Amino acid sequence: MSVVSLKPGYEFPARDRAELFGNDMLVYTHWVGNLMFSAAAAFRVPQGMPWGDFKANMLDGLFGGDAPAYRQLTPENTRWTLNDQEFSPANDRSLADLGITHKDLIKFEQVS
Amino acid sequence: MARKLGLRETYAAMTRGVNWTPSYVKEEEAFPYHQFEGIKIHDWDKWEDPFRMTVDNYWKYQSEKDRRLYAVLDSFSQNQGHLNISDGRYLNAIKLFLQGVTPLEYMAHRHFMFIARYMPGPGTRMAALCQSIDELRHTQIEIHSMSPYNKYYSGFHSMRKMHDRVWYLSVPKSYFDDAVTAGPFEFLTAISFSFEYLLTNLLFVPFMSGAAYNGDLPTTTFGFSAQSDESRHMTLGLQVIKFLLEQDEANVPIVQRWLDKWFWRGYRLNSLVAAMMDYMLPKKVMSWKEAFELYFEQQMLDGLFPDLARYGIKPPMGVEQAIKEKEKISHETYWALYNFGFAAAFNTWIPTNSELDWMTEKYPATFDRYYRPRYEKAQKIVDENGRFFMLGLPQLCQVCQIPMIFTEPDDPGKICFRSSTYKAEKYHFCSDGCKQIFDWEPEKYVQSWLPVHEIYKGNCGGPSVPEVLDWYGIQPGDNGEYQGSVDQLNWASWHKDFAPV
Repeated sequence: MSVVSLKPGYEFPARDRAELFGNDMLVYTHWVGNLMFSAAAAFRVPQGMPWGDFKANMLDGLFGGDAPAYRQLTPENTRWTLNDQEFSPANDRSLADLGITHKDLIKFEQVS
Repeated sequence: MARKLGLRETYAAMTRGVNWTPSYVKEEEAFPYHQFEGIKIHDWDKWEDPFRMTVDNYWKYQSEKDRRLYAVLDSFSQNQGHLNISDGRYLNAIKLFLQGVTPLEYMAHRHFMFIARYMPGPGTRMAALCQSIDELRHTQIEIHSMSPYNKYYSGFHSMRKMHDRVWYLSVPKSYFDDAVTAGPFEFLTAISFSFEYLLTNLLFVPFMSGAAYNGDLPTTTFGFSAQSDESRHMTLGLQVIKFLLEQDEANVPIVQRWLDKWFWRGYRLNSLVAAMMDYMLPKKVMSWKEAFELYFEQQMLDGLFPDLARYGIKPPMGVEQAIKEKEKISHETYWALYNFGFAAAFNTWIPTNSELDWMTEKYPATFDRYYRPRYEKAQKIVDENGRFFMLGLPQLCQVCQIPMIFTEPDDPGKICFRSSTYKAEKYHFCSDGCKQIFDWEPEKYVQSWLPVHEIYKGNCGGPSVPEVLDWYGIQPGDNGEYQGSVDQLNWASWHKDFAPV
């Protein structure tokens, strides 16, 4: 027998569903291998924001808090993933163009 | 003259043969909640309460305990007792208790009153009634025991408001909300068994021993005043489980599922206690790891679960991960509190050198390799007149609501990310345990009130940090770094004439 006792028809809309954010969305970003930052950071961002703005206005400010380590990152030595798939961001393309959707997880890591 | 009844007879007179069959409503209208979870009870009189508490005795014991407690509190206030605690840092543990745990006592009061009304068995109703009144008394005496500090220290005001709003307090709040929105038997398994039996010694003993070790007379006295109640609650928790398991074999898989869920929920909640034990007590009682080994591995895994095996009950889901995590969770949790200390209603700090050495000694497998370097780096920033904060908002686990700070069970250098998709929406979890709990009942957890997302939806006072802190009820000085804080400066000035120790 079932061990779940929810009433049939017990159903509520998800509290943080994509439509509530309109043209914005939530995106999480984690710096792999640098646990000075205890968790991935959560951001609310416009879907149409160019990657370059996202990086300059959001990621640089937050992760630059560990300045000596952040300064060592270059486009060449940084590996990016989107939901654990290889991912190549481009500064002039929008987050939506790059395939980023609501509640996606972006990770970056210094590889050399 | 009529003979006076003995304790056993009084208890029997109040809990046996007192039910009647309703004539003008149906039975299921009078007691509508005890069947939908699938639990089968054949004989409510098999409910055995080892304490056989009756109302007249209950009042007598409790009023005597209250008299003793309030005499101590008066004396403490009159004698400036707050100057005798080990260090001003200590009170941050008590702020966390008042903000996080005291409101749960009140919720427990409310829901045990619900159980006392809606369970068809009189013995169960009587036990729930006594516990409900206990919980109300605990709420009151905790507030009264801790309020003498409010006059002198920050962070002790507005605990009720903070409990409903502040990010780290959504961890205990959501735990209890999850329990009271379940059916009555799941609630009893969650609170009476998991919280009050399985994990109580890990939650309650560290706070109360911590108080005793650190010269906190009011909290210690409160602890003693609550101790006999707590042992009654523990006994009730065990009785609930055995009663359910003995009544019908069909109850076993249901109870096992609840144990799996509520062990993991309670264990995750305890990560705040772990951080408190290892980091907030200037005089340490024992490490989280030692407490976990004693109170969980020895007393529960080696003591209780072999006893439950004869009913077909297995140790709960996630036990192996919890054992691996005993080397890590206090450090990972406190580091997150340090990271986001600008938004907490207590102060955080870098442990002193001797405290760091204590952690090296207690956590030889992990501390120097993974955690000490972070404090050294943070100290370097302090030496350059800075303070390291993570100036943003963290990703939260959809179930336990703790920031996603926990690492893979076998790799303290790698954050554990788990996720599920339900009806085209993604959900993120800190562990296999939290993911499993979501996957069992996604309909429930899609409704989670996640503090970070609520801020981003504009529901928490405004988009800026000062606006959110204002909405939280956090006043300047409640939050941030301890060194240089109002509390630290006051502590130093009050003690400047004291002989050095």
